[in-house]
Amino acid sequence: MEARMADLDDDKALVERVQKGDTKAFDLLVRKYQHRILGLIGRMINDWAEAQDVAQEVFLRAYRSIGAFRGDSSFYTWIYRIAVNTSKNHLVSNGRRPSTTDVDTVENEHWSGAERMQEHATPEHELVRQEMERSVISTVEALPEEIRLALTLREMDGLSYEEIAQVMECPIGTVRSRIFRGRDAVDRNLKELMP
Amino acid sequence: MSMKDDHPDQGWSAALDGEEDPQALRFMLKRAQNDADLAQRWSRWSLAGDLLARRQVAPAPSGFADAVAEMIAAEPSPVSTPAATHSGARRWMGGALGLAIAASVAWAALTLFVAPPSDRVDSPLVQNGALQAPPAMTPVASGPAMGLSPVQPVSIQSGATPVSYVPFRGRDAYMVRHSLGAQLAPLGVSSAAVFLAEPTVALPSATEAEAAANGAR
Repeated sequence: MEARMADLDDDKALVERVQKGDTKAFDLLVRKYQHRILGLIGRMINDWAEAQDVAQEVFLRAYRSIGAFRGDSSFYTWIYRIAVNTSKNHLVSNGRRPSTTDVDTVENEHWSGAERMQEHATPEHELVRQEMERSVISTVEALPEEIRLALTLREMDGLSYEEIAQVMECPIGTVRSRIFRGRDAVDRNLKELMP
Repeated sequence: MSMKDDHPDQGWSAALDGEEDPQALRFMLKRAQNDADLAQRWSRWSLAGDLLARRQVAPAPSGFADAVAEMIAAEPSPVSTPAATHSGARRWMGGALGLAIAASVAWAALTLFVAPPSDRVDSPLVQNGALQAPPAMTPVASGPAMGLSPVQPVSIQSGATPVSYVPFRGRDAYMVRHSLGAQLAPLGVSSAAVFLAEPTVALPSATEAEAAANGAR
């Protein structure tokens, strides 16, 4: 996993809200990580329907044990481990052998074996994913320079708003505004492609 | 939404990055309970970020998060374990503390009410003679065999200031009787006899106390 300086604190406020009984906060965490978790489980379980069931179980398990989450790691690292273990258990309980190739450690999230992903996804799913990726990248490339830079520093380099403000020599409020405007522009195109 | 934001959704974008103030987030979450559009937008923003960073994602179908939300709705609210542990510890400590206090009170009651009179001469009530007992009462003698300090008989010398007596009533009387019964049982005194007698504790007068104190020096 690439180093993301702001990772540890990214979800702290939402997790604390969940721990205080706010289910809407958990819903936002699900929506934030569902694509990554499904991607991970999809790499381990060669069945899209099964992968969705296992992913649901992962989020349910996470919700049940979030009271024990103390923030020693990021929320995503924590749920990633739950996903790996749940997927392995699912495979074993179905008489299948968990893959030993790649997904045992968090560091492998950015595993570059796209071919394997393509093997496991249906052609339609993969086509949609590729089209979405192209849409996002082309939209971002067309953004005004200051908006594109703010968004990519955040999404690709994982800088905090304060760090981006230092890099771009502008107030944090401006960074906040630029990132939102970038996301809003990307969203207008992505919305049309959603399944 | 922050005061400086120029769009109502800007706060949500910041919240996605963990850059929103917790208090503002709390307020936003309250307002967004049934905002399905916001939930969808939040999901797409996340997906866009994942795709931009070229993470290996599988775009979730639109009903996936809703299905999880339905499952979560049927679950009991999660409890923060550290808080629960502290709460449990507090409960345990509370129970232990209660027991300790009860034991201390019982011990204090026993030692106070059955204490040797010499321990109690400082009482202003005794010193100023406010506590007077009927002269006919006889202090109960007891052997020193038991661990608890027995009521000590005080010799009344002729011409000396009368010994002060403190009659025990109610629970105090019960405590003294109980203690004496236990101490006299090995000597063949029935507990019934102890309970029939009105327990009193003999207190020396202030003069006696002073004399005893001087003698001890």
